[in-house]
Amino acid sequence: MFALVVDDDRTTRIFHQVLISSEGIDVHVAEDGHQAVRMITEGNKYDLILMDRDMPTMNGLTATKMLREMGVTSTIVGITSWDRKFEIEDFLAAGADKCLAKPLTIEKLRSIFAEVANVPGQTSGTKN
Amino acid sequence: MDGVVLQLQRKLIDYTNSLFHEGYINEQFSQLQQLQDESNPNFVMEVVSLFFQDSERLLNELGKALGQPVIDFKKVDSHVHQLKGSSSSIGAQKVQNVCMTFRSCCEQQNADGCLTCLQVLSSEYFLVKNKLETLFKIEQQFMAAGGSFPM
Repeated sequence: MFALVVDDDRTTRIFHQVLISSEGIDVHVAEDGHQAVRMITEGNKYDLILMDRDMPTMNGLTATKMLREMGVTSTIVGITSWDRKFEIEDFLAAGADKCLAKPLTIEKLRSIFAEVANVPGQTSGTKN
Repeated sequence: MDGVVLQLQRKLIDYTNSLFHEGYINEQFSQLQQLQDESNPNFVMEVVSLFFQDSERLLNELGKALGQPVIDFKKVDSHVHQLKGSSSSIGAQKVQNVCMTFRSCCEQQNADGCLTCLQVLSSEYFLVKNKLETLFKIEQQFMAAGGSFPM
């Protein structure tokens, strides 16, 4: 399984990166939605994308919409700072598969991995 | 185990517990500690150091933004949002709580409220920074005396 963490906050990005790595999963990082879209356009494929909502240059909602329009079928989990209903609805409407409030925990991550593993056609991606 | 190491171990456990008990850090900090191992022995200190650097930059930016003749509340909110995110990632509960109040003041475009929040935020940030730096010093003393993790 390959994962992509997209977050403009350095502390959160590194924490999520190490959290995912600790489960034996290869993980890349991107600082904003624009970089994430570029990495995927360049041929990187991810089973799981953790997408922060509020980021400069390109936010998580726009990036998610763009990736779905490109035909990306990765599991996209929207990561919000608040558990506010409209933030969750916005992310799901943009094409995210689910939303979680940060910070993530080992337990939350494991539940996501279990779901990704059960998604038909979601096999290990390749990375450049 | 050596007497000195045992003493330091006790000191470390008691100090860490006090930080949780007094609300400076929450369960999220334990998540960071769980990720620290032989392959990543300084993970907590490294991540928290990044938090310190980014937080001080953001506090500086907040001061500048709130000192403008016309306050850009969207900009202020963006900085507070970032600080809320990073403080929640390391479990700095009191900093996180002030950020939530601060964001409400931004939404209301309440300049005085924002200024007060900035003062409180700075105060809480430097308090937790001081506490965590003390924690790391005790950890280093413990390891220098021959202690190891997990305890």
